Amino acid sequence: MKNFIHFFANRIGWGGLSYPVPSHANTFAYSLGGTTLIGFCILIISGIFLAQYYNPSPEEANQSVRYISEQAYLGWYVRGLHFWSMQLVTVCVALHLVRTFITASFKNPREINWIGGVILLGITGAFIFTGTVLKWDQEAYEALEHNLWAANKLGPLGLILSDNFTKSVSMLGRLYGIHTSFLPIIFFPLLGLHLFLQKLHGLSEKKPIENNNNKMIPFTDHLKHLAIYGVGALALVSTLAVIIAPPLGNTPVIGIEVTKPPWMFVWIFALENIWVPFLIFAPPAIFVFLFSVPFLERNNDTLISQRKLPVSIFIICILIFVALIIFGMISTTGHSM
Amino acid sequence: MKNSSLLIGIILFCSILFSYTFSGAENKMASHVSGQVAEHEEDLDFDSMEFMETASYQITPPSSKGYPFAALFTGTMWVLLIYFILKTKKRRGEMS
Repeated sequence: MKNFIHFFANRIGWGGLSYPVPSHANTFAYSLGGTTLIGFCILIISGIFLAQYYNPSPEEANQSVRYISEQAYLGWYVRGLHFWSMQLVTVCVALHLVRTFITASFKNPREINWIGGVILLGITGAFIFTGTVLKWDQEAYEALEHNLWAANKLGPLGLILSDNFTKSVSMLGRLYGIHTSFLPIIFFPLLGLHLFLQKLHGLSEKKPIENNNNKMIPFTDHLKHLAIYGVGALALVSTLAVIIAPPLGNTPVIGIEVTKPPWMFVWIFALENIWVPFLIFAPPAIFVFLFSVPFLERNNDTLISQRKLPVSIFIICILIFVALIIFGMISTTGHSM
Repeated sequence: MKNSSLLIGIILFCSILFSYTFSGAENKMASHVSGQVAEHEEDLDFDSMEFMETASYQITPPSSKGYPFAALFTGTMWVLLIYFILKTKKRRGEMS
């Protein structure tokens, strides 16, 4: 067996991946990006399976998801894997972003990688939104209604996201195309760039360079470590998939608004309760803020003790965000589209 | 200590999200549906009680098709995870 592995390792250039990385690469905080990537791998594989059964026509979509859950061999399980992996990816992406900020890993020379990461975060959000609509139940329909409302308010800017763009394909069909074609096409090159820049600039130091006494380990060791995280992630989502089936409502009833969005979007719901147009302004405002982070904090300080103000502002933003999520969860609908 | 507190905080927050996604799902429907339906009663041609029964989020029971395979796969993943963790600990012990 060892000879067999050695044979392949030589031929695929495994040894070329033995370049040194700091040993803290193997800590949980610095493995969040890798764990997110593993979560995406589970999403892709389970998504390919689901695509074999899913029908993106508004008349059939909900029934085809029900068919996956109740009739297709292992369909309920793979759908569960897809759903729970998405939850895992959301949590890991959020923690990855927080870790990157707290450790000042976005600073010179990693600004572009931070911006690439923020774009990947936006694409992840788009994946979740379009995936939510695809199950075509009441929650999905209302999510689409909000999207259409925002698109109409944006006028020509929102035309591409509105149902006026074309009458030849249903909005659901177009969102299915976006979920399975358009988003992956822009996601993977950006992910490649993110990984390339990570390799180019190396892992950020855990301590300032002058005090750095970190041990170095081969990158292959980090990959083996990530494989353990991967097995752990798969064990976790697989257990959840076996125990709890993802929610699926019936075919939507047009004209009423009775659901709330998934938890990762419920903060928008909370803001809409305060002022409905926040739906249009809040997400771009957050992304503008995230994009501007490397330009707002341009010094080379990396220790938290040297960055009390930016870290405090960031923590306050996180607390507001968490408060909005909780407020959205407990509040009742105070708006309608 | 700080890491443990952070981990406990994350687990608590995830638990809230978890309970929102599932156990709260039907409650949030029930708390809004009656009011919303009453508001739209004149426009809608369905029975509100029937709607509450059918449109509320139900956690559909998983089909049994392939259940043994899924359970075996899940169990294998846990066994593999424990094996890898023990192997890593053993290797670290040998190195130190």
